[in-house]
Amino acid sequence: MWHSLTRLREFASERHRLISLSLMRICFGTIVLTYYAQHVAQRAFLWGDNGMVPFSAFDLMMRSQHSLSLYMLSPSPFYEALIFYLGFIVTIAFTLGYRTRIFSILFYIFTWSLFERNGWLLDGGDNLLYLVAFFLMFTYCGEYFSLDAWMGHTSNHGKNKLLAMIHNYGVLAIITQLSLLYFTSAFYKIQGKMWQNGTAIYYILNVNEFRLSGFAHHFYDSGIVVTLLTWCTIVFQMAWPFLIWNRRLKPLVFLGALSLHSMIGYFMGLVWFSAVMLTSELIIFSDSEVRYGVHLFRRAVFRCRLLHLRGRGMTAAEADASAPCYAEHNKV
Amino acid sequence: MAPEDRQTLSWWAAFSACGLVLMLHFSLVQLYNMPLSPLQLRFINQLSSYVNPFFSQKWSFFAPTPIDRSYSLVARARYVDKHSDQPGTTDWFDVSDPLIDALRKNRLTPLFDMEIGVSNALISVVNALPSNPDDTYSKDGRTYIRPTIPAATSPLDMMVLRRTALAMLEVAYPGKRFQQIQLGVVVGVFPRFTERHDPGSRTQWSFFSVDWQPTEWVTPYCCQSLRARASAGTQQR
Repeated sequence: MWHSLTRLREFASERHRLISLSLMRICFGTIVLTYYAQHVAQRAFLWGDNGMVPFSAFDLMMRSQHSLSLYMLSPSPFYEALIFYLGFIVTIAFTLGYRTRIFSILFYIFTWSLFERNGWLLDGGDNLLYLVAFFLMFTYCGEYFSLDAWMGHTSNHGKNKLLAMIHNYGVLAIITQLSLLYFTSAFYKIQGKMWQNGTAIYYILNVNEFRLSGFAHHFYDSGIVVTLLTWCTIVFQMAWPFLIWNRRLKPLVFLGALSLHSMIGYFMGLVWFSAVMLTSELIIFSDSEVRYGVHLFRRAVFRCRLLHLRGRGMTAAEADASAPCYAEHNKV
Repeated sequence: MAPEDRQTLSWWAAFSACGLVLMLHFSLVQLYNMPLSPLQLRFINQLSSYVNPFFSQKWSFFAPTPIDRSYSLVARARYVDKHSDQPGTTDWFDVSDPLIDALRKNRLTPLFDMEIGVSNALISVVNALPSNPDDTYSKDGRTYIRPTIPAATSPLDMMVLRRTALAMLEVAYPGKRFQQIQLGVVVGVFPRFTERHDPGSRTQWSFFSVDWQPTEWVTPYCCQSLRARASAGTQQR
């Protein structure tokens, strides 16, 4: 018993999934950054007082929902522009991993404020993004690929066991949040008649706003394909919280998510939602699994290169000599 | 107690406290997210005050019943010409389709936000109709939407639809001072799954409008791409 508790303490005092979290920071940051950049010209209509939602209505909604937003403090166009561009700068700093702890908190505040300013623009991905951004504040998400790491600000981070434990709870919270998302979504679906009889995808893909691709009819014209897609969606979502704990099945789960969300992005046009969902999926991989994945990828690239060189008539020895040293690539 | 033991003890205390907080948090969130149950009903106020707004979440995507018909927003406006002071009324202008068309051509178009704003507001208005007796009437035991519904239906969503339509009308009809606007909703019920290969089966179209509403000045939605779309909207009406 004592031995198990000691092992649990050791495990919980060591920071986990640092690479995945760093990748999530970069991806979430890039998504929000693109969102800001894309809407610079439309800012006044989407979030301004004379735009889609006037300040008076926004203020009323915020007060009735007991919510907060930085955009609440003034209806002035100058102030709205100031918060918008500050949010832009905060997101750049967060994405680059500069003073990550502080900027992860600011990233959450500014992103939340922007999404609250006009709730009609939300597509579900924003909902997950701000929930995950909340838990990211408790984690060390700037340990890799960041200015902090480059400048040596992260060298002492692993020593505090209490903060490491809080970091791990942050990771657990993100995984739990995703599990509940998939489970709840599947739970609602299995109660619906169209999901049960396997026709739901047909109706969704035929709605005007989701009938975007000329290829979609290949899916919804065939009864078998529609039924399989409908049921596979439910099975995937229901199984996700259980399968992610199996090391061997994780890559398959990720491939499943990649297929599902790429299709949602392409066929239904919900690109931001898909990008947020796929980014969140990164949390299922531990650091050693990410390293192993990179190792496999490099080995595959190396072998392709080797085959290519041999195909050009080189002998095995010449090809081996010309191809980049695999031992060098093996360092991950 | 040795300092090391004290440190270990405080670590375990913090570990247990954080674990309990996390368990409690997700239990409350999940209880609030699940379909209505006696347990949820018993604590709905407490759950709502904890979850909303900062942990609010809705994961019932297209469930239990996915949307099975298309809704499009159209609008027309009464105006006074800025140069000649002549009053007039625009033709019905298609608000939704040019935006969807832009998304069809480019999945990353900035017009996506305008499109999803219209779509979210439109669905909320349509969902609010059955609960409002001013919007519906009954005949032969069936409930129908009135040909023209009051502008007071789902007022915040109506405001979003009105202002978005105005932003597009201002781009499509430059030089006009809009005084009143009327919104309309085109409903398209496409063939049911079993009828999808039936040559005689077509989309059934219906329409209802909203009472005329006074206008307000709205920042025109920016950029050249919308100008092209907006003129497409006048052609598609």
